[in-house]
Amino acid sequence: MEHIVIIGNGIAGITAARHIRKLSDKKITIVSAESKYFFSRTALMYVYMGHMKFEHTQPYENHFWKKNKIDLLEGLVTEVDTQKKFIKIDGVPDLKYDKLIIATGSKPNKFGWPGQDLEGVQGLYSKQDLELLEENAPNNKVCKRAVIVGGGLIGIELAEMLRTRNIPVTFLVRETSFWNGVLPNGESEMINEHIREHHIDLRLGASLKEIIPDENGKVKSVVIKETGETIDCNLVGLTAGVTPNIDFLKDSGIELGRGVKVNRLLETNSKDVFAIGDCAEQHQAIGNRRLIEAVWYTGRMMGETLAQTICGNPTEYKPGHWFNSAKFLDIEYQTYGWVFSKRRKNDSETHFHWRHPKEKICITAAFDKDSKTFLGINTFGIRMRHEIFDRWLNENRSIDFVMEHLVDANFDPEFYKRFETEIVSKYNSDFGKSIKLKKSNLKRIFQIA
Amino acid sequence: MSTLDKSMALTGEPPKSLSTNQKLAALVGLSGLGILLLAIFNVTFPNKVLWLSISLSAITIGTIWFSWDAYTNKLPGIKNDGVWFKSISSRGLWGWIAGIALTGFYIVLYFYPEYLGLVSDGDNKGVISLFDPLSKLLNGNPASQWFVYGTLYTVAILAFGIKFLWKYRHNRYERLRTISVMFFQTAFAFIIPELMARLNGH
Repeated sequence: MEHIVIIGNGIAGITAARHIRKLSDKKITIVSAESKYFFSRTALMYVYMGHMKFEHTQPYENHFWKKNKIDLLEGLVTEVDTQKKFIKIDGVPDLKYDKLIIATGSKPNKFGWPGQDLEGVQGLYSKQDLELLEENAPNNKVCKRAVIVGGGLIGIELAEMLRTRNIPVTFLVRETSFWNGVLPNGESEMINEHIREHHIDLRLGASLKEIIPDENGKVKSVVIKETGETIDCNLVGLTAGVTPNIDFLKDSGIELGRGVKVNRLLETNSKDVFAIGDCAEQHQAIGNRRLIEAVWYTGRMMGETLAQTICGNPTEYKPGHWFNSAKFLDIEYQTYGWVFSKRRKNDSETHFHWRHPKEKICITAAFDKDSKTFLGINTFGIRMRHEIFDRWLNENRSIDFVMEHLVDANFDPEFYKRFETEIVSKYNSDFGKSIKLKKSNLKRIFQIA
Repeated sequence: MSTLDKSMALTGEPPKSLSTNQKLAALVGLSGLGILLLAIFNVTFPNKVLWLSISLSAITIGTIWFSWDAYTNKLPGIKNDGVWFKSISSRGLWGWIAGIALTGFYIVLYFYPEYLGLVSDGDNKGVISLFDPLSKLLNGNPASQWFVYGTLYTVAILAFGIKFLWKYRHNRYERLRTISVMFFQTAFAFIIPELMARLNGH
């Protein structure tokens, strides 16, 4: 029986294992150094915040794995021998494989800051990071102030987490506005305001120069590069993005870039070795997507795709139109298609922006200046239907069409205030149009003939 | 080595202590419950109208004050911080005490209403007699155990409804459904049946 070994039990590795099991009777072993059982990484923050216990983040009962004949092995993989087809695991006998799937995810970026390895300095990615945070910042007596370095999705999560324990937070963001390498300016500005109304000391255009230890080798303070200001703190959260977690593959002969290089079938240059999830790097970009996508759902898609290939149905990884969702403190964010930031967008991409006069609700729709083709939409505080935008992007609809049918896309809970009228009227006045909003139509939404 | 006392628990020490306002609110609310408890043990209150009013108002005000303090300085948004750290909401000792007390109350209510002071052929005693004035006002008859229960239930729906409206002020769906529950409990489930009983009575 063919033996499939999967390194890493995150969403990518686990999805691959589950789908291989659905399709075959192959022997499956999952190796993880992080935790015995799969848990939902995106829910880790809620354990610290007291919304969940850790066991609530485990989507499957512990007996699920045995029942489905998926072997779980705890240990750190130190070496992969692609010639003799085995892996070395710390403290466990070597493991032979017929096919190897690398799904080791990411690790927090460290950019060589002085003091980055001191006690009290940490990232936020793994279960161990969460346990460490509980030691470093259990309350505001042990941790009198925290400094977070790096303004992205993990940084703002960490800030939110620490604020639930009333720990003062200083948030260093290198950019001139929060996440404006990704978000258009209006949205980024709204998030700045929201961060500040949560009493987070947001410092824009501020980067880390060094971290200074006390006499015990614990973090004492940080120095800001731009101003030279020293900020006393007991915790430094390094959240300036993530890098593929692939150091153990350096001498394996597997082709590496920043991640493990794979083709569209998710195969590496070594026979019978595959890579999926955060640690996989495409040779060529798929559409506008990045070569490495550290996104939860792409990990799941890759796992599902690879299971097909391994079970005899070679299938290319086709992630479809870009979409994503996240949360900035109390504001939900969704994106469908591409809406680029000022820095990344090209000249033909035009933006339409609407923001609620009082509440933290806004949208930005992107379209092509000449063809008027709809390119994508960002929404904050309004939920949209994924299927509808996916359909409109497939059909290359125009921005006028999207505005006219905007009601169809809304997916807010019942009785929520609707803003389509205001949005379309602003669109009409911005671009000199006279679009009339169509009424919601369930037949249209669900394509019932 | 750090001299820090490192707890091995995955959940540390989040802020779960009460503010001064919440302590005072708890005092007010529990004193309202305390009056009812004394009545259960047949302490006779001289002025039933006054003491029942004090008791129900204290429970209501205590609950509303407590929740106001919990949410007044928070922005609209999901408010579940710390629920798994608190004994009452994570199956801890306080959760068990509340569960056992409520179960006990229901057993007495359904099977042994005489312990609450129900007297079938004569004047009520105990906590049920405390509710006699209100019952007479609404339906013209002395209180029963169901009237006591209905009143307390309605008070809980109204006081905690206000708490819920604050907690979920970001969510129009939750606000509407809470207002609906508060209205239908007070009007259709409590006041209207009582008034109808009076109309039907004689």
